[in-house]
Amino acid sequence: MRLLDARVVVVTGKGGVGKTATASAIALAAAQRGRRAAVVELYGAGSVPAMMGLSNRSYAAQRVAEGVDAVSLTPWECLDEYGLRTLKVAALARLFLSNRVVGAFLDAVPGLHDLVQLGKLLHMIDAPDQDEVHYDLVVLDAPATGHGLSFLDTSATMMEMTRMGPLYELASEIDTLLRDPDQTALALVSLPEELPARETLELVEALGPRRAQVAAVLLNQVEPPPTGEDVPWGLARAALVGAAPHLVAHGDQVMRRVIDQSEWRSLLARGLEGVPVIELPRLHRGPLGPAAIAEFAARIAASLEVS
Amino acid sequence: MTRLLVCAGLGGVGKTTTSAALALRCAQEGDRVVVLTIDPARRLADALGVERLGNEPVPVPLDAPGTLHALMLDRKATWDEVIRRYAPSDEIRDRLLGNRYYEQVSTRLGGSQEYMANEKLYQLVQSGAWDVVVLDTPPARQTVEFFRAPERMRGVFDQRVLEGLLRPSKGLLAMAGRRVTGLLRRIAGDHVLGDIAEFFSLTTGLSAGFRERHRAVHEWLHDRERTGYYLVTAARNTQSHDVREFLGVLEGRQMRLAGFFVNRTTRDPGLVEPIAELQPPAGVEGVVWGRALDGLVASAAAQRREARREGEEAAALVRSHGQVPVWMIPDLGEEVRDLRGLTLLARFLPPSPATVIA
Repeated sequence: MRLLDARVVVVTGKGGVGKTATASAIALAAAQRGRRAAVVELYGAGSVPAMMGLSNRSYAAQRVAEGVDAVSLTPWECLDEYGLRTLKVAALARLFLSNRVVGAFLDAVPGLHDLVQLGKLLHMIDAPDQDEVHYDLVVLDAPATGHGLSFLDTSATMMEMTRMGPLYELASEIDTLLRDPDQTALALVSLPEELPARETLELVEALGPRRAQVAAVLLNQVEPPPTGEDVPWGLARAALVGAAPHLVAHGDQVMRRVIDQSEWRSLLARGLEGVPVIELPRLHRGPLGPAAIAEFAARIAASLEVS
Repeated sequence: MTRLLVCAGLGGVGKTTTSAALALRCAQEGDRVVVLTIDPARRLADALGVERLGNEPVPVPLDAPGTLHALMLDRKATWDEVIRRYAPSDEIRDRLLGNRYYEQVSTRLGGSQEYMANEKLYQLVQSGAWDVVVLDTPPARQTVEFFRAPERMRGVFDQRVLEGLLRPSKGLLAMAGRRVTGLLRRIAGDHVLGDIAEFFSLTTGLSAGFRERHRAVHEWLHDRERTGYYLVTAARNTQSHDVREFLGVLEGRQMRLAGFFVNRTTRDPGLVEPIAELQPPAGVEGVVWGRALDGLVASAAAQRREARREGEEAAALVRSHGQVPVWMIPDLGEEVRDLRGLTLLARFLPPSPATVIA
């Protein structure tokens, strides 16, 4: 499965590796190929809107670039919508969902919050109402690994628990979608550092049959050599010593990182045979924003051309 | 009085390691310290030089005036422990441990990990064995989840709410109850409702205890004389929405912010020297050489700007939060793998972390 041809891309990885930026960039890259895309976050985290330069999160789609919307889900908004659709009568649904007891009950069903948010996702690509946008691709800024795996199993757990009824049906539809290698791709985000790299390999191991759905590993914060690819640092260093001690110290520091990273880059490449690894450069720019996302999208498109 | 130091922050900012280093720092000051971590990675056990971290405190071999113990929260084991300790009878205990819904609650219900962190914290404080408990908070999408998740769980376990639903008696209220139950059945299905109803009827005898322990922990966490919060952030993102939201919650609840840990700060490479005149080495074309040097200069300049920006943002944090100190922790360039690394890290932390709130 090619990354940008999927209907759903689930983006996961260790905390702090750049999942949100990567998810946004994947959506943008797909939109630039003419696909209508949404980048979706869960639990109203607010990180996707912030990354795309928006000041507020919103359940309603917000346009962030040509062909790309940002959507920030919360379980409560999704439940409202789901309740409305299931119970049909709006007044009844509202009365029901605003009930304190029902609220406590819905909090008490494990995985229900995950499930209704995934249900919304399904709705976005499958059967939106007439006045809603139909998305060709939904990119999900998913929870961190560890959580990520149990999150992918939410639907199966729910099916096991309910065994019949509307929640079972919903869970089963979601399960079919998320397991289908022709529809759902996994994008794993990592860093060329020891812990994230090892965690990525462990995740791939733990994926079992889902491994076939891994469409790409996106490696963030890759450090280019201090003097580029054409001039070896050793050569430049010899010329700079004495003349520019600060630059030499800086170049040495960068070079150490480059060498350190190469170990984890090759470890990943060996462990991920057959999966394209897309490298994204380290940017010294503070918090990432729309400009960085555009740069990442271009890199993603370029490296998919090559592979 | 056992003092509590809470390390809060998003996943991936180095919270677990910082918590361990903070605990080490307290032990170096002579305190009897225990650090409760959540991160399941083996790495922390390695860094502390212990065989493995479990659900009970294990001593960390240390040459220091105080002592350091560490444990790693095991959600399921803590739930089982709580049920075993507080179940009113053996029969109820066994039925609860075998209940299908309990299995879900104790392994995957959202918020139940935070809830068990509170139970563990209660045990540690009640034991009276510690001067300081350092608490590493569970990874979450938002830092404020540390407060919100257990409160949501408390809502779930509030018997007065769910009893009304699951065991409606007679009268008008019961009719409303039955109607709601009917709708829930339509949405969730009978099995779920049955399992949940059994679970809550079994926990009736435990719920007062749950409420009381969590009220105690809630009070401790709000006690400015007892508990201080350290916010751990990545250097590049100290002004994020998440940080502001968390600080807003602390302020709203009048909790004590003890300090900021700004992790992995960028090193300032210093003033970049003029090197335009530098001749290319033999065999390197002038254009290629120029491009390579431009790249180097641009990267040094960008790193310098980034270091300054981080410094300015840290200064802004200090300004906007009065007396609260900001601790800048440089990128040490390698993972903390052993006690030596942890000791090195601890040098960048406050000299006597627990006395800040004494």
